[in-house]
Amino acid sequence: MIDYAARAVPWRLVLAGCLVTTALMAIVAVSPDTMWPLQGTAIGLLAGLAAWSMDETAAALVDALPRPLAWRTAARALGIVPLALTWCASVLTVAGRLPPHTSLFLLQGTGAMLFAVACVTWRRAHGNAVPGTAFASCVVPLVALLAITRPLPQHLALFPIWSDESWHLCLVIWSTLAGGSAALLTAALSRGSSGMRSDVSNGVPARAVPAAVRSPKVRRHRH
Amino acid sequence: MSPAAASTLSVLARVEMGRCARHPLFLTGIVVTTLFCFVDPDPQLGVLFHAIVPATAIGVLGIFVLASLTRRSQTIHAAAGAVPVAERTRSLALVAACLVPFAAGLAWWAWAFITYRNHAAPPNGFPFGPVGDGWAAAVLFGEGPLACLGGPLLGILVGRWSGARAAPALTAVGVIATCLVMQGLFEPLRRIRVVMPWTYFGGPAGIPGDPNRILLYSGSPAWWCVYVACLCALAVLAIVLHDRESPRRPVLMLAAGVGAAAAVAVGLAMWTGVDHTLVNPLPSS
Repeated sequence: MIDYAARAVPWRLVLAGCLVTTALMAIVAVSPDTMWPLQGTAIGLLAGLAAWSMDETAAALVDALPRPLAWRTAARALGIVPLALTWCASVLTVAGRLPPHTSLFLLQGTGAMLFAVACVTWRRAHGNAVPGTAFASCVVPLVALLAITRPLPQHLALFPIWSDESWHLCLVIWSTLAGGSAALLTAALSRGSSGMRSDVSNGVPARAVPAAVRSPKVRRHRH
Repeated sequence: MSPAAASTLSVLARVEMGRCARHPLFLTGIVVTTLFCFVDPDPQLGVLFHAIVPATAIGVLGIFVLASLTRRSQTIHAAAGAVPVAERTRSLALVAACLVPFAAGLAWWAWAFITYRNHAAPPNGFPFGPVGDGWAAAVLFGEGPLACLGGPLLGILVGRWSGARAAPALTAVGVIATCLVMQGLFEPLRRIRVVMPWTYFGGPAGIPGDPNRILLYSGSPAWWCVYVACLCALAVLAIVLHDRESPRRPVLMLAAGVGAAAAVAVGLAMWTGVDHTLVNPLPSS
């Protein structure tokens, strides 16, 4: 699994993400009141990086290997470990300068990555080999947009900063997101282990391919 | 440019503008910007602090929109094989597509300026002192429509020059981080903040004893708009420069001229207009 992860995970991208995340949280620590949008931006970037790490750019090859989606996802998840560790270390290092909700901040980062992995794995289980690029191209800017403009702060408390904001609602939102993501990931992996391997080939859903082309057994019987 | 090439450019430009206008991220940005127009502006800061919305929702998202359109254009070109359309023509068509977000930014600017004229700032609000409607119009134009134009141009630039799939995201995060740092809140950076393509010209930066006191930052927003327009022109030239099959020397000469104009404009933006940071004499509350 280590060998697989060493070749499959975009490590340079992961390293760049770790450095950028650390830099963003360092800037936040200088002046949390004014630089707080960068905290949300960093969380969006982590989600995007997690999604990119799950892309199977060589799906046509790995589909032929005796490795199910769950195994390959677990191997690729090794690329998310440095991202999660970087996020936790960044938050814990500057925790004294942030609002006293460290556990919530840790949940935000890890929950966002779990959400990304779940969504991308679900798409992979449905035949899209490289859904991470499209997912990241949406989640990074949209989360940045939410972090900067902070629409409806009392009802959509995604990235609260002030003490009078709805921190409890924020905890509920992120807990729900993380729990839902875990359920989605489980469903995707169980679908993957029950015969999805033939569905994933060059990113083309199986239903888009005629049955005679999809199943080589048909031709064997004819001969 | 020959008539045939101009005709091709016209057709391609219309196609790319349609793709840009239908892109889900662009539509999301339009919806968000429109919804924020219905939110009452802060009574003390006014509509001048609404400019962050189009700059992010159309400008920053525009980086991703045009980067994806550029990548799609390259993919179609690679799939088609040898085609008689030069890369420069395809690049200029993508540049023309940036007029769509710019037009959206102009619409926002018209709304914002009318709103600014109809909602006078209180004496302890923003702006105050020796600035008039022209100053506010320039601030809104630089922070709104020009950001809506510059972001998408940056997206094409990144898409043309970098093949990395994460390049648009890392570029956008870099732009957000540097613009936040250089928005004028840190006093030592206040004079040079106008080198950034997006910044504020005042706000509740506070003073000792009154953390929300309104300040008016130094600099000339009109010259800053000229500088940002020069940056946009430089971005177009850098996009065109990627094509190695067309003559590059005239483009380089033009880029040198525009770069010199940008340097002069940013110097004037720093040292003309409001000559030093002004503190509102009235307390914030």
